[in-house]
Amino acid sequence: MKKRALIVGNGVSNITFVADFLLSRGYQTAIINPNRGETEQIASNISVPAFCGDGTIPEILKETNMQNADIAIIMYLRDEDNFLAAVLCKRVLKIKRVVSVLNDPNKLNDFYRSQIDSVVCETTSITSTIDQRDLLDGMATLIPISGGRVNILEVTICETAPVVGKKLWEIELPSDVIVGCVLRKEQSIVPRGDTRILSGDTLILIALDKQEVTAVHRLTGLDLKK
Amino acid sequence: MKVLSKIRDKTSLVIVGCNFIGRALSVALEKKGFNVTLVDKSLEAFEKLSPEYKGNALLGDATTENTLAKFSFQDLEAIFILTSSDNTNIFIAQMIRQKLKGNQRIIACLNDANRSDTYNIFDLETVSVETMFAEAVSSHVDSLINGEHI
Repeated sequence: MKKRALIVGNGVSNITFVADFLLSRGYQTAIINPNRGETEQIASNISVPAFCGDGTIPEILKETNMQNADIAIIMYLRDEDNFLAAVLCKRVLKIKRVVSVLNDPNKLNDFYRSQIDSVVCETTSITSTIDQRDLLDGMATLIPISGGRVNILEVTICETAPVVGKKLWEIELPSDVIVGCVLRKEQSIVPRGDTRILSGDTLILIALDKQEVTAVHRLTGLDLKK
Repeated sequence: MKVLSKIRDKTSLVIVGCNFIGRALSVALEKKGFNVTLVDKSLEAFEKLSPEYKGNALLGDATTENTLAKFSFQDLEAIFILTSSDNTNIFIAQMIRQKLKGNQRIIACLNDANRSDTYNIFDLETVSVETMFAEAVSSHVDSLINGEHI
C-alpha cells in the first residue's frame, strides 16, 4: 500500500515545499490550511488534495481520510495550535509518526511528553549551529538529535589530551554522557569500563541535555566555555 | 492588601485571562475572600480592572514556563483558564496539569461550544459561556411568556 502523509498548518511556500518533497518520496499527500487564499495557492502550486479548515478540530482532520497515515507534519505559527493539531493527529487519526514545528524552545519537553514523535525548533537549530561551530574549533563534530535534547559527538583524542592512557572508568564524565564507540585506526570498539583510551582514538559520545561541552572539556582538556 | 477571611486565608485561586469574564470572576471571587491571582500577558488588560479588585495581578504569558514557574502550585485550590482561544486554554491546561501534584481543579472556558469534543479528548472540565448565557436568557423568556415577574 502507498505511504500516506498529511501536512497541517499556515503558509504557502513551506507547505508546498514539504508536500513536493513527500510526493517525490512516493507519499500520497494531503494538506490542511486554515486560510482560503493560501489553500488555493497551494492547490495551484501542486496537485494534492487541499482542505481549507482548522486542523485543530477533530472533524476537519477526519475529512482528509488520513486515519492511520504514516506521517503528519504540523506547521502552525502558534505553538498552542501546533500542540493541539499534533496530539489530535496522534490520538484521533492514529497517525504513526507526527512531526511538529515549535517556536518557543522552552516548550520542547511539553511537546515530547505528549507523545509527539519529532519536534523541529528553529531557535534551537540556531543555537546548535553555533555550538557545533564552537565545538568544531575544539576538534569535535556534533550531530543534534530531537531538537538538541540529545547530541551525538565525534571527539578525536590528541597526544596532549588529559585522558590518554586512562581506562574509561577512570575518566570523570558527566552522568548523562556515554562513550558509545571508540574508533582506533581501522578498528571500531564498543568500549567497556576497562578500555584504555589512546592518542589518536576517535570517541563517539552520546550526550543528554547540554552535557557535551563538559564532556569534550574533560576529554580533550580544551576549554570550550570561553 | 485587604483583610482576608480567616478560614479562606490560604485558599488560593488562579485565573488565567484578564478578559471581561476573567475580570468579573476575579472581582467576585476576591470579594468572597479568596486569595485570587489574575494572570494575563497584556498590561492593557489589567488597566481595565475594576478599582475595587484588591487581589494579585501577574503579568506574563501563561503558555510559558517562565510564567508558570511563578505560580505556587502547593497552595492552589483551583485554576480557571479563561482565554478567548480554546487551543490556548487546552495547551495551558496540559502544561499546568503536569505540574500539579494534588487534585486541584482545572476549569477552562469553552469559547466555541462545538469544540467540547476536543476538550473531552484531554479530559478537561469546561464551562461554556454561550450555553450558560442562552440558558439564562431562555429561562427569562419562559417566565415572561408565562406572565411571571422576573
